[in-house]
Amino acid sequence: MTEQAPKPNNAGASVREAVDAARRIVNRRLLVRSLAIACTAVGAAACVAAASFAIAGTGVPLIVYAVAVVLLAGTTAALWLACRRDETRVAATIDDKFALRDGVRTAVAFESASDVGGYETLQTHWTRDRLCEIDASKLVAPPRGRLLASAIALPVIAMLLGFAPESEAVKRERAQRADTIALAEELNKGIKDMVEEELASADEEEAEHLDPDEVRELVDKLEASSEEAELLRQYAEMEQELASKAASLDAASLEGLLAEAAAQLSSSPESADLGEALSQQNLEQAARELDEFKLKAEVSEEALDRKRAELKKLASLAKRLAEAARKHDARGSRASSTSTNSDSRQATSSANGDQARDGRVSEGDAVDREMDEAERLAQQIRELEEAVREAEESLGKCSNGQCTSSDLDRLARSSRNANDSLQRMSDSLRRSSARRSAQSRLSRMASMLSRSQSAVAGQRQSPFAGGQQAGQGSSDRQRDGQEREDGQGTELAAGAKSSGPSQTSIEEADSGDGVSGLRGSATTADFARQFESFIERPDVPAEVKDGVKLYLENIHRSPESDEGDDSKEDGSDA
Amino acid sequence: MTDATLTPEAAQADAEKFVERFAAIRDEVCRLIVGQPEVVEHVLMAMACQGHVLLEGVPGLGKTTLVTSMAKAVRVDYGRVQFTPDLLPADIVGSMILVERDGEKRLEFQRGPVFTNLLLADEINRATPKTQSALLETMQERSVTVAGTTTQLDRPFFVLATQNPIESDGTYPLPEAQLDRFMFKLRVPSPTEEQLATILDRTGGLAPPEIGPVATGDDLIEMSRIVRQVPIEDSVKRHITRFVHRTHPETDGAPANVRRFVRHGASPRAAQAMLAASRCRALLDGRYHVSRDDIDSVAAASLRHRMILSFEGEAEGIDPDALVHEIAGSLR
Repeated sequence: MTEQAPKPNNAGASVREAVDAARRIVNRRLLVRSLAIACTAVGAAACVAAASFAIAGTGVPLIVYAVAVVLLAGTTAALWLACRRDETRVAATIDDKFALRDGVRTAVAFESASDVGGYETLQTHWTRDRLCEIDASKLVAPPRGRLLASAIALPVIAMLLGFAPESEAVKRERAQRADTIALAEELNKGIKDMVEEELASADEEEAEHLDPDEVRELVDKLEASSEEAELLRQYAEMEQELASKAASLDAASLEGLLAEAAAQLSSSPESADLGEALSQQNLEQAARELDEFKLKAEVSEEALDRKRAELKKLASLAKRLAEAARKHDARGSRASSTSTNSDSRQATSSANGDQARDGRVSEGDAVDREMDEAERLAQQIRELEEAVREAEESLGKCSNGQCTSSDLDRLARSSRNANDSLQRMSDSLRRSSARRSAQSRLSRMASMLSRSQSAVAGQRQSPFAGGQQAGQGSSDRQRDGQEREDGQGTELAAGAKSSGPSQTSIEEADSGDGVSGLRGSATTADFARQFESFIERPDVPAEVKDGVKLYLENIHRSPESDEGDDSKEDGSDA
Repeated sequence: MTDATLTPEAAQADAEKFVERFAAIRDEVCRLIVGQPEVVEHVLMAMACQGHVLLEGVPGLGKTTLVTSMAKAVRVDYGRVQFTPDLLPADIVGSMILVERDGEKRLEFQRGPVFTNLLLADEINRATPKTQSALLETMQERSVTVAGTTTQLDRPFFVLATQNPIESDGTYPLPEAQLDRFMFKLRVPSPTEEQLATILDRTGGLAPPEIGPVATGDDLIEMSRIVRQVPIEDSVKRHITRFVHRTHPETDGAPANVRRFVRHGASPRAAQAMLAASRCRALLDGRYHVSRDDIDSVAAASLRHRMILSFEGEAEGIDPDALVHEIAGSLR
């Protein structure tokens, strides 16, 4: 690249015009030089960046080149602005380069001056004579050699590195992350739908226990992350919240009382239906059965026989219930002493931490609340027993032929009291039914989150991955790709009927050593899962683990085992 | 200071005349003085700028011969004073004496040897400071005041003083005020072997070269006028001011050695001397403007006697010329 040397001594050309022409040439050369330097610097940086991506196995992202272009433009502009020369600097450069002894800068100043004398005129002529002999292209050398080579080579190398393919590991990782996000979105949507479904199907009393706003807030916190660990953390956290909430609704003491009552009531044919309902934990049915025991006959001398029969039936019920309450009270006092010992042992632990303390307080509240419910029911049983006793006394007086109006009034009042007690008991049972239902819903939600964690960990398929809803089997119509009735999933994969793999193997098990009962096995599995997930957490101190372990063992101890323990104790006493 | 009425032709004629006169005097002096062209040129530059020169050198180097040759080449009145410790100021500037004329006695001013055009103050540092100070007014104001009467000296007037840098017994170093009045302080070098042979050839014969007049005192005054008309661009002028400014140790930008070894920097007279001398140098170089190279070339002669070294500088034997070169390098 050669530039035509200016002709500053052209006819009429002043020193300033010559310097200006030289300035343009110099600044163009400086621009090219700045571009070359910037290409070298940015090219080197781009090479390093592209090489690092290539070595890492990821393709070079286009943003690297976009940034490089911006940096190139910026660096070139900055360099050029920093080194470009104005008239004075170019004059000085010419003086220095061609040994004109400050002649050019002096001439430029003299040409700008208003009053000049003979010496100034002579000086400008002298300078013009010298300027005509110089070659302005020699003022700044164009980039060449190493600079030019590096300015071309480094950007080219950086661009060539952009063609380096991605490694298989990176492709797999990217696909895995995309799958994780897709799975997370699917799981989050499924969890949200499931929760909404559970909340929508809950009645008003259940909703009080569920606290739908809090549950929805937990669902809203879920975010579709590409990190499996983050997803597991979110699901585990939400599962822990729901499990804690479900645990707070647990009422083992009340359940024990009801189980005791069921056992007592089942032995009598009059109350066998009620006992059966209680043993099946169908509290709604039990409440209805309890309503059947209300005294319906009028309090009159004509209806005394019918009244007596109702009262006899009710007295039997009250007696059995009172017996159950007494047994439960006796067992509760032993359990409370054990729990107190356990609490005292936990209190001696030095490093339980805030979380453990909070958990203990929450569990303590739940225990207090369920104890209140059990106490309330026991109190209602005692009231019923008292009312029945009064009614029996009143009815006994009437049976001796001395039935006065006051006796009838007393009989009527005691009958109302007995009915009121029955009503309160049935209300308690209904509330317990709602609490249990809410607890079941929360447990289902927690279980769904547990399965979601398993799905994220790759241990099982997504719980929301296709298939029919519970209770809906496949049909030829659906298998043929027709639209589903519920409108969810407009297309189903078509397959050949009877052509898929079938489950033909049957797992063998030792007979006679299994534990029957669907709910019991589910509870055991849930307990085991909660137990293991908590016990295996590395951030929980060993003392807290021991305390929780003991607590979980206590609250999940079956009545049979307690009885066994009692018999052992009795035996030992004997 | 630009003379706008001066035409380029007249300016060119002045410049050519300056160079011609300068070359004529230099060539004439150099017929006798061997091997000291730079000293000769600087002395002539100082005379062209109406400045005084302090010549420093060991005895026998031709300092006195140089001055007498210069006086002969320029054809001006020449006076010589051998400075001794018992020399009195009145012995230099003159005194009032009682004169009887026409039977009447009165005091008349008897002019001293200073009333001349070219005064050679030989071994000036042998006189007492009192006597040295008698030259202060003479050199700066070019006048003499005795008994309340001021008498102007003839023009041109130059003081060319010599001193021996080796002998210190019975000498009185020139005070700073006196030194500052010398435009240049020149060091007269010893001749090389070849130059010494040439000296012997020229002076050992029956008829040593005779120096004849090639210029007059008026020519020197005219040369002084021409020098003052040479223009200088502002940025170049700033080079002088920065140069002088950096001789001061307390100035920002002063080199480290200046900060360490210099006690006092140069005075404004140094800048004036550098400006005048660089103008002269530009004309001699065939240019009509002053360059920074011109300034740098006269900096050492103008500044070496004006930079007062500190005790540490004196103890270390620092050469002021080295400091001047360091300052020049820092300004490039």
